[in-house]
Amino acid sequence: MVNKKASGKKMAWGDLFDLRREDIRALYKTTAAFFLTFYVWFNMAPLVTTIVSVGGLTMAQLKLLAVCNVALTVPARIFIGMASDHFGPRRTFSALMVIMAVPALVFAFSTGYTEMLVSRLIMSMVGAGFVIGIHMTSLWFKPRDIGFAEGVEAGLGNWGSSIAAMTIPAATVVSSSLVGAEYGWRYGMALSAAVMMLYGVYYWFGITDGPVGSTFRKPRRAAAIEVSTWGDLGNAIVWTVPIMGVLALLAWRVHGMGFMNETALMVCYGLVALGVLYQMVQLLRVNVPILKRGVPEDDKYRFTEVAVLCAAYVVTFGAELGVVSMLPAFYQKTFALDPVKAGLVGGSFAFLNFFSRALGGYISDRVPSRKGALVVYLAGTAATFGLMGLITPAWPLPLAILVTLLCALFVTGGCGTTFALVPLVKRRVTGQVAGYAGAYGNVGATIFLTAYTFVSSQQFFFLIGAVALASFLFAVLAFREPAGAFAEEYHLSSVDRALEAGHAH
Amino acid sequence: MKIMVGIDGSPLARRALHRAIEIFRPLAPEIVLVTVVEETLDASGMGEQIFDKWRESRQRYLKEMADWAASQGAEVDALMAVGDPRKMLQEAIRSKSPDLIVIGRRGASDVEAMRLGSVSAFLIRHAGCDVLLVHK
Repeated sequence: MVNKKASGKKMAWGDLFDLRREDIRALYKTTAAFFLTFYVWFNMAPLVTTIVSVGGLTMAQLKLLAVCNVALTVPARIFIGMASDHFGPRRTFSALMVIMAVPALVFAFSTGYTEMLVSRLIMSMVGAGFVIGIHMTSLWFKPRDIGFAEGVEAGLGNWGSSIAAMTIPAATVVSSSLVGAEYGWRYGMALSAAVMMLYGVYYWFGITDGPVGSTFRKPRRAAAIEVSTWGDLGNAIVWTVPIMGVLALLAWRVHGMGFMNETALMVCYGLVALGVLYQMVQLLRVNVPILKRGVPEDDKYRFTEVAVLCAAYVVTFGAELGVVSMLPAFYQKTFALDPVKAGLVGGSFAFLNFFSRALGGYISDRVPSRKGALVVYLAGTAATFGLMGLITPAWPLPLAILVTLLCALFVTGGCGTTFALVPLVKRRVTGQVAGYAGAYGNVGATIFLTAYTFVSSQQFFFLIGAVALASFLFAVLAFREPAGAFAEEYHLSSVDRALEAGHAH
Repeated sequence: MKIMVGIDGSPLARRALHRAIEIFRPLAPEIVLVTVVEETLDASGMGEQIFDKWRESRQRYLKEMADWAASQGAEVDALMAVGDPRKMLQEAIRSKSPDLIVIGRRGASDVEAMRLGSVSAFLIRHAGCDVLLVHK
């Protein structure tokens, strides 16, 4: 990035194999932790059909479980992010892995649907491992290497969901043959939780918060995002509401399924309203003094850019989370595949993540316009989801898989192009811009999966395609690529130098 | 004659500046030095401090190169920008309208050089003025 030669070589792909380097080892240790949290987080999707047939659940009940699986992730990211700042990522990550193994085990050996629902809801917090992993990586690597290191960490870690989709059904087949079909899936799932718990213990002793000798510093964390105009303050408030607001949607859905009475629903609404109100108060508290003082022209940025990136992440990461949760079941039903094969095919969606997400970022770095890269990826996402919606049992399976992979290429690559733009919006608030976009990924997933409880798979794909089209149009019309600015300018002439020299003598 | 030189802190950038002055000295060119600091991808508060440190070191470097060019008898304008190097160099060309831009090319031997290579490749197509590419 900057001062490359002056301060040594920038980290490259080859360095990843240099296991003698302490930071590379720390990267892998953290990646493994992140991987395991994702593995456990998504250990249900590949078993959905098995759980239905063995446990006697309805499809609607299962869809609700899928929604619960991503519900608390957003608020958990906020609180766990704070915990990571306070206690350091090592302790927070260890605690998360050990504690979250409990609901995972409860789920695995649950006897009733309510138990499943509650344990999944609690387990959705395991998705916050992402935040801790990013934090830990940022402590180990110099800023110029951080984009790459975090790309590796996030890319490999996200594989957890696809590896889960591919391996858990196989593990289940093995354990089913040992203990019978009724308990088979339970042991498959419990195994993943147990591995995560053990790794959590190892992580506590196996890593430090940054290289030895460096002190763990608490990063600055403002209470709310800074904006530049009064209009943008309104904009920011509007875009902040859904981050907590999706929880109301979830509560309403749970209520609709008869697992919550009116009073409990009202209490949930009240809590969500309090959360939203709290965030609004924070936004006002941070911004009113700033705006009253006035923001200098060269320090301004448009909140619209943040909004576009949020919308883009809804249909990229949000769609990915949503689709990953239902794809194995979709393949199993549409093409009458057995769970192992359906898991393999379904898992291929997220499997591409490591390459295609990095590819998206790489392309964004190379082409003349990052906005161009983003809109092309969004258009591709919209188009390929349209194609996904056309898949019928009459299709040859390889063609369906090809379309799925193409869709995955655009969706995960879209994540890369979105996050390639995040740091450019406004330097000082990059963390918060990333927070907004990241949260919208989960907002998207929650909304899509809630919608999934009402619609067929075909309609689900068309819905995502339509939202992607809307994001595409929003990006084309509203997004202005931040190019940077001139920071300094001065003039030196030989006359000046002569004068200077004259004074010196 | 107005010559813009894009410099990035590398030895080759220094060489590009030397070449520009060496070749065009008889024309008594006005030199416009441009350096672009890329924004860090680090999202933590710590990245901010380190970014400031880079920017300062790049400022000193720019000053040093400008002083050297001025000591060679040239009129020197120095510009520092923050952002995408391609975009900002293009922007600098637009605002200063030089007759020529001189940049170093490092060749695509590793990832970082490919990025730089992409800057020169971009400028060759989009600069809107003549481009002189200085090789190793």
